[in-house]
Order: sequence, then C-alpha cells, then structure tokens
Amino acid sequence: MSKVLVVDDEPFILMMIEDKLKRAGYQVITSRNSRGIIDVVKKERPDLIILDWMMPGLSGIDVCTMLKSDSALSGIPVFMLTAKGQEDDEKAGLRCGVDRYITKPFSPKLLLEMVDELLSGKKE
Amino acid sequence: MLKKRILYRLLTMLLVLALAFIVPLLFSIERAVDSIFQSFRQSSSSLTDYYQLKESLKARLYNDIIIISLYIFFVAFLMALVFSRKIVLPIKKLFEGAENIRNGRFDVVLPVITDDELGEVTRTFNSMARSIKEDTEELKKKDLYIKSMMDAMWILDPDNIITDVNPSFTKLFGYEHSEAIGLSVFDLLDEENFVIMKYELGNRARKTEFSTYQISLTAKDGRQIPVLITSTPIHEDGEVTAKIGVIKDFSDLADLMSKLVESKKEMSGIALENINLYEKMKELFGQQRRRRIQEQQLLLELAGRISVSSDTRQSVRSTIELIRNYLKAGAVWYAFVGDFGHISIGVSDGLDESDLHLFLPEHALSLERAVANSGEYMIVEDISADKRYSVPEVISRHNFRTAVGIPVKVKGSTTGVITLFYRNMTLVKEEDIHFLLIASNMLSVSIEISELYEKRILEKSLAETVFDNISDGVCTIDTEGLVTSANNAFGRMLGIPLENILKKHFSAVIPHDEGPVTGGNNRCPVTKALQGERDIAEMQFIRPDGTELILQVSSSPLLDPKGNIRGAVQVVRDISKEKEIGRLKSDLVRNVSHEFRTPLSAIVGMTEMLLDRDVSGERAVEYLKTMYSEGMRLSHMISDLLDLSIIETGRDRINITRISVTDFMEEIKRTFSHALQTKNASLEFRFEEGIDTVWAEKNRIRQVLINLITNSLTYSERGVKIIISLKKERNFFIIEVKDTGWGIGARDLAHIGEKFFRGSYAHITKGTGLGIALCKEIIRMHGGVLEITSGIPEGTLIMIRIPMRESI
Repeated sequence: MSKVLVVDDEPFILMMIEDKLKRAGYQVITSRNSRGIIDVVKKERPDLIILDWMMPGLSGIDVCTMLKSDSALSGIPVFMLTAKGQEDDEKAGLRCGVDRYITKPFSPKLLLEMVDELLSGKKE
Repeated sequence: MLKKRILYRLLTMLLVLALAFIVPLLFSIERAVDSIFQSFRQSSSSLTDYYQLKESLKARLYNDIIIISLYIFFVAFLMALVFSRKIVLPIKKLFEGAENIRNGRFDVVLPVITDDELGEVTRTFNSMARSIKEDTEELKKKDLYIKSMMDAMWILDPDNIITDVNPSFTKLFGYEHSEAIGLSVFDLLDEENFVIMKYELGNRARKTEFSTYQISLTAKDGRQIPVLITSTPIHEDGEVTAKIGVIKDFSDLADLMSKLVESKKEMSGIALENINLYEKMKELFGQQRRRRIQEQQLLLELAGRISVSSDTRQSVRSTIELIRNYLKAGAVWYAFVGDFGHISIGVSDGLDESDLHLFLPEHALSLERAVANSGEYMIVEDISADKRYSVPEVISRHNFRTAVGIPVKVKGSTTGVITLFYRNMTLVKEEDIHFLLIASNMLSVSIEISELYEKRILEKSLAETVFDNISDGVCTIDTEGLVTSANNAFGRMLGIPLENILKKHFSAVIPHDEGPVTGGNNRCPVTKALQGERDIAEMQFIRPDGTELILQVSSSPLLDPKGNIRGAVQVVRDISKEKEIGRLKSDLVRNVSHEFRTPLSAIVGMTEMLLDRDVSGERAVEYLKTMYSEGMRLSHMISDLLDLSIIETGRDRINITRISVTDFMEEIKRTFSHALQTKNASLEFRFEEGIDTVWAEKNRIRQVLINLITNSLTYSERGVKIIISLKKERNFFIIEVKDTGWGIGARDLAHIGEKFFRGSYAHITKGTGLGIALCKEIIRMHGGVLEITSGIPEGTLIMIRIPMRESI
C-alpha cells in the first residue's frame, strides 16, 4: 500500500484529498503544519508528498528544497498544490525539483489519476 | 725723281709734237710755193701780177697752216692720250676717293696702279681713308644715341654758340638743325632767364664739374619752355673747348608748381578776407566745445546716476534734478503716462513738497497731454498766458512763463513727459533741446532697463521659488561635468546635503552610468545630454543611509541662444513608489487569484466528490457546510474589493447610526470566537467610563475592526494578545487596537496602507493587501485618521481617531 503525505494549512483540502485517496486504496498521512515535516517524512517514508505552496512558517517550496537536498529523501516525488498559476512561480517550483503542479481549484479525480500514474505498481 | 721723270716725259712729248708739227708744215709750204711759182711763170705777168701772186701765196699759206694746225691738234691729242694715261688714271682715282670720303663713304680702297710716287700717294690715301672710316663708325654710334635721346641736347662752343643739336631739340624748341647751329644760347633767353644763364655759364661753366640748373628757354614760336639743363664741359688740354647740355622739359612740373603757388596765393587771400570770421568762429567753437564738454560731463553724470539705480522713480528724480540745474529752469517735473493714457505727475523738482498736493487733476496737464499724444517736444513761450493750455494752479501761482515738454519714449510709445518751467520768458536754444532729447533718451533707456530688471528679478525669484519647491530634483551640470546648481528636492531625494553636491563632478553624486533599470541602452543620460541629446532613464540609486530608490533621470542639454551646448539639466524623480505600486498591482492579481482559488478549491473539489458519490452521510453534510463557508469567504473578499473601489472612487456615502458599544463589541467577539480559540489568542475590550454610544456607520466600523483583528491574528504567533480600547479625547473618539504580534518593520511601515501592499510576510500569510487600505478609507470617510505605530518585538498599535457626533 503506497503511502501519501499531504501537507496543507487548510483543513478542508486535507479532508478532500484524504477522502479521495483513501477510497482509492492509498494510505494517507496529513499534516496542517509544515514545521517538523522533514522528521515526519524520515519517519513515515511516504511514496509521494503533496505540498501546499502557501503555508504559514515553511512554504511548500522550502520543504521541497529541503527534501531534494537530502539524498535519502530526494527520490520521493513531490506534487505541489498552488493557487498560483504564474509562469515564474512554476519555474521556481521546477527549479527546486517539484514533479507535478496542481493548480487550485483542482479536481480531486484528476489528482487521483496523477497519483495513480506516478505510483502505478506501488499500489497494491 | 718724280720731277725729272715728268720733265723727260715733257721733253719727249715736245720733240714728238715738234716733229709732228714742223714736218707736215714744211712739206706743205714747199708744195704751195712750188705751185704758186709754176703758175706765175706760165702767165708772165706784170707787176699787178706780182701783187696778185703775193696775195695768193699768203692765202694759201694761211689755209694750209689752219689745216696743219688742226692736224697737229689731232695728233697732239692722240699723243697726249697715249702719254698721259699712266699719270692721269691714279690721279683720277685719288680724286674719286676724295670725293667718296667727302660724301661720307669711307669704305674706299684705291688700286695701287704704279709703283711710283703716285702709287705711294694712293697707299697713303687708303690708310687715311681706313682710319677716317673707323672714327666715323664710332661717331655714328654716338650720333645715333644722341639723335634718339628723348631729352633735347645741344653742344656749345666756348662762346656759347650752338654747334650741334639733336632731333629732340628741334621737336622741343621748333628750330631745325640748320637753324639752330650758329645761334647763341642767349638768343633763346628772355631777360629774366638771360641773367640766370649768364650766372650759370659765367660761374659754373668754368668749373670742371657738370652743372644743373633750371631755366626757361624761348622756343621758335615764342613760347617759354621751362627746362632743367645738365651741362657738361668738354676739356682739351685744360681748356673748355665745348659744352654739352642735356635739356629736360620741365613744363608739366612747372605747371603744377605754378598752380600750387597760385592756389596758395588764392587761399591766403581767402584766409585774409575771412580772418575776422575765422576768429569769430574760433571763439564760437571754443564756447561750443566748452558747452559740449560740460554737457557731456552732465550726461555722463546722469548716466552714472541712472545706471546704478534699478528704480525707475530714482532715475527720473536724478534726471530732472540734473536738467533743472543745468538749464536753470524754475521747476521741472515728470509726468507718468499710463498704458491707457492716464497722466499723473510723478516726480518734481523746484517745487515745494507742500505744493505737491495741489497738483491738479489730469485735465490741467494739457501740455503733457499734447506732448504725449504727438510724441514730439513742445515749447510754449508763455504758458500762463497761452489760452490753448490749462495749467495746474501751482504753475500759475508761481507765475511760470516759458514751458518745454519733452517726451520720454520706451519702445516707441511715450511713457512719460518731462516738463520744464522758466520763471521768465526764455528763448530755448536748440542746444538745450538737443541736450533735453539726449537726457530723455537716456532716461527712457534707464526706464526700460529697470523695468526689465524688475521683471527679471520677479521672474528670477519666481523661477527660484519654483526651482526650490518643486518635488522633482533638479540640477544643472556644466560642460566639465561639475554640478553648478541643485534644488532642495534634489538634495533631499538623494539624501545628500546640497553643499556636498555643488561643484562636484556629477559622477560622484548623481545616479549616472550604473545603467538603466529597465530597457534602453546602457549609456549615461548625463553624458548624452552633454553631447546634445535628450534622454530619460530609470536608475537604481542607493542613498548614503542605505535606502534604495528607483529614480527617473531626464537629461536635457542646456543650450545658449546660438545653440551651443553649455551644460545639461537633470530632472530626477523618485519613482520608487510608482514602481512599487506597479509591482503591487501585479501582486494583487496574484493575491486575489490565490485568495479566490482556495475557497474555490473547496467548492469545485467537494462538489465533484459529492457528484461522484465519493462521500455520503455526515461526511457529505460536512462537505456542504465547508462549501458554504468557503463560498461566504469568497463573497466577503469580493465585497471588500468592491467596497474599496467604491469608497476610493467617492461613490459611497456613509450612513451614520447610533452604535451601542457593548453590544457591538460582543458581536465582534462572537465573530472571532472560533479563530481565537484555534490560535489560542485572547481579545480584550477596555472602555473608558461613560462611553456607551458611538455615532458612526456600524457596518463600516465593524469591517474596520474585523480587518484589524484578522491582521493581528494573521501576523502573530499562537497565544497572541489583542486589546481593543475606546476613549474620548476632546471631541474625538480614540479606538486603539494593540497586539503582541510580529509587528511591522520600518520598511513595511512606510508602505503599509497602500493598496495591495503585503509586506515582508506575504509569502507565509494570506491576504489581499487591501485590509488596511480599506480601513484607512473608511476612517477618512468618518472624518478621522488611522495611524499605525509598530516596533519589533512590541507588536503593533493602531490608533483610530474619529470626531464625536451626537446624532446624524
């Protein structure tokens, strides 16, 4: 069972993603706080991380940069949830190693398809 | 020898002649006698016959003698021919040679026929002829020269008789060569010149040097020809044998001389005639000169006085005082002529100050009016008696008589009239008028200059005021690149005191070639302007205090009237704010989009899941509630934006109502109960006693408080304390919102309240950047102010001051 970590400060986003992925058979861990998330990642070893860009404290980009600079964690794919749609934001995201962009408002169905695509085979 | 030979020859000739004569004679006589006697014997005649015979004999004898003589002559001739040939031919040749030489043909060489004395003579003749020929050749050359001389020439013998002249002499004096020779030089002189010549010849000719003298010679036709004679004596054995005179025609020069002498005479004659007039003129001229000098000194003084004065009135005063003193007038005044023809007495001299108030109104100044209208000066012999002019009382009272009005013109129109009044009837001289006109001209120039000066001063001060007070920084730079002037704003903007800017090179003070912030090429606009180009560029500038500015630098060349570059002017505008606003506006799009997208995610995503039946039951209800609240959040945000836009455009009117403080605060607290709890924050209200009612627009004030409390909760850690207090201060309500949050940095504080400004925490917080802007607008609408003070780590204090109202 693939494990997906979702980090967002909006509870209803976490609720939506958790519900959708769990129904599809994924194991979902959620966090409303980006602080200390690296420890969570190290501990939980998720197969995919979905990060919100705009979060109090560490932003999604900060977390992604930290993950990608840690050789033990850099292999974990990162999906970035963002309300931004601007070109230069995407560039900034890609620079730090983001694998996929999901622009808000997003379709939970499409998100699931992307997760499925990335983790095909890993799911039971 | 020659004689002997000739004698022999002569003897021989005589013998031959005798033989030739005598023999035929004897033979003839023989025959004749025989015949006569024969005939006589035949006839035997008588005595008569005898006589007859005798006669016949005589006749025959004579007859024969004649024939024989003829014969002898013939023979003698033939013999002479034979014998004389040898003697006669050389002599003949000699004759011919002599004849040739006489005729000027010197190239004769006679043949030497015999070797006798004649041959000798011929040889001698030949050598003589040769030397004559050589001498003559030489003479010929000299003669040719003499003949071709332009100047006349004579040769005199020691008795001063002309022995030769050249063709120029003939031409000049009319005497042919032959006529001239034999004349005495004194024949060519009149009495006067005779004496001169006598002296010249007598005294000088004895000397061995040549002499030159001027004299007049009489020509053949009686003309007196002035000549210059250069005489050279010819010496032979110490004696003067001849004199050669070269005679130069001097008539042209002499004419000139005589004319000069004539004119001199004439002139002195005129001078003598006019000597009195001349003396008189000299005296008058002296007077005139003294007068001119005096006049000039006065005018100089006037020029000096009026040039130092930039005040028209002062110039006028100086001028009229000077005029009155110089022309000894009783009084002088200056009447101003206004733009619309109004005339008023400005300055006067020679009248009591106490009389000044007695100046009559305009209609009394009819002379000034006439002068102003005509633009010409006027002289009135007796102004008090002249019916054409009405005069002010002060003039008639002082019994002024002659008056002179002089116009003072500036740019062609009369701007004033100088009037002089004399106590007596005075003849105003032309020179006086001349002087007055000059003084008036000087005055008009002075007036023009002082007007220009005043205008300039005004313009200058205006320009300086503008220069110093405009918000744009302005500085000028000379061609060397040194800053020559800068206004206050320039120094303020760059954060450098003006004294550290002036006279410095622009590169040391002014943003220059660090390159434009956006677009364009990288060349410095100041340099471009100094090359005659206008340029505008945006530049980053860091003040000495570290503040960063974005400046717009407009450079223009400073050109003189001829178009030469004299420097450059820089206009520097701080466009940091404009740039920031531009940036903020694009931030807005981003922020608004983000803020809208989050609630939309709930609505869109959850709807999809509900439709897909991913959730059901209680979970579905929860979804719907979330969708609703997020929808409401979206709606509020849109309202905020709309409110702000409506308030800003002034389309909104506040609706003042009575607000019960306690109820209002409770309502607010209720609104935030959930948020406070989540953040573990506290919200406290503190009211001053006696305040229970506030007059304001309830919804707007609520909006303000909600925004401020939201900010306190957003920009703070958990456990933040928020205190809202309300008090009265004179006629104002003071509402304070104080928190223990992150506070606002100095840099953010400067911009806070600007629309869409989000500050340093924008990347970790949510917001539209419209909250404080909206609050400020709402308070402004209430006639109040909103002030923010902050400092890390004290948190933030927002103070709202609104005027108290009792009712609507």
